[in-house]
Amino acid sequence: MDEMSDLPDPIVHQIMSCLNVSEMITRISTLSKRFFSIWSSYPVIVFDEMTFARTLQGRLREDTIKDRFLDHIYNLVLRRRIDRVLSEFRVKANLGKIYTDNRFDSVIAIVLVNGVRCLRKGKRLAKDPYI
Amino acid sequence: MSTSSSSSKKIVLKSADNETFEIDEIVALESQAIKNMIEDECADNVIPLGNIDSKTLSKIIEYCKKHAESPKKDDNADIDEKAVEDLKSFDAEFAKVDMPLIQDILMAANFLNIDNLIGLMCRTIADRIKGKTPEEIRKILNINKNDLLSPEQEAKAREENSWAFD
Repeated sequence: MDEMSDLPDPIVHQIMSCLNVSEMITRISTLSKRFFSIWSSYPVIVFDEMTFARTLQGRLREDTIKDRFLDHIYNLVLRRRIDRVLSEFRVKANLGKIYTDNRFDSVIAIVLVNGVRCLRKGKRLAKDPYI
Repeated sequence: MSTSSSSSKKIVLKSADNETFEIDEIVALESQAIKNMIEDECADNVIPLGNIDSKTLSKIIEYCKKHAESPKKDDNADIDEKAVEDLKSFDAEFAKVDMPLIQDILMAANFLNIDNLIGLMCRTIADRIKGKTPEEIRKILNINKNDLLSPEQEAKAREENSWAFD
C-alpha cells in the first residue's frame, strides 16, 4: 500500500489542479493504476494544441499533428467514466478542419452527456474559429 | 475579539500511539471536523484520533496554533501585511519536510477537515513533481510497484500521449 493510494479522489484532484493540465495530467495518467483511473474522474479537461504541437513540430507535417491532436482528445475523453461529472472542458486550438471531423462531434456529444452545460466558441484570431 | 474567553478552554487530542496533546480550544477549532464535534456536543474531554500518529499530530497542532494566532483575512480589511508575510514564510518552512510526512499530514488534514492545510500540502506535492518524468514522480511519491500499469498498458498510454513525454 502506498500513501497516494489512500488519498481520496478529491484530494488527488486538488494536487492535479496545481499542475499544468494538459501536459502533466497526461504524464500523471501513466504513473500507476490509481492515477490512470483517477484521471477519468477529474472534472476539468483542458486541451491546448500549442502545448501538444510544441514537441512534434519539425518532425511531423502540420496536418499529421492536427490529426494526432484530435486522436489525443478523442482517446482521453473516451476513457472517462461516463458517470463522472465534467465541469469544465476546454479546447484551445485553431480548429479549422477539426471542426467538421467526426471524432470532434463524438467528443462534444460525450462531454455534454458528462455534464458540461455550456459550449462557447471563442475567437483568438479574426479568421480562425476557436472553441 | 472573542478569543480571550474561549482560549482558556482546553481540548485534549489523543494520537493513534496514545500520546495526548492538550491544546486551547481555539487551536482545535481550526479543524472543521473537531469544530463540528464540539458544536454538536459530541466531543468528550479527550478526542481520540485513532488514525493519526503523534509525529503527524504534533505537526498539525503546530500549524493550527500558528494559524489560530494569526489574524484572519476577513476579520478586518486593513490587516497587517507583515502578519500575512509572516504566515506565508511559516507555511513555506512548515512544508519543508519529507514526502512520507507530507502525505501523512495531508491524510490527517483531510480527516480533520483543515482546508488551508490541505491546500498547502497539495501545492507542496504538486511543486515537487512539476516538470519531472514519470519515473522520477513514482520515486518521489513512493508509488507501490504492485500498482503500476502493465507494460502493455503503459506502452499504449505512452504511445497515445508521446508528445507529453519528450
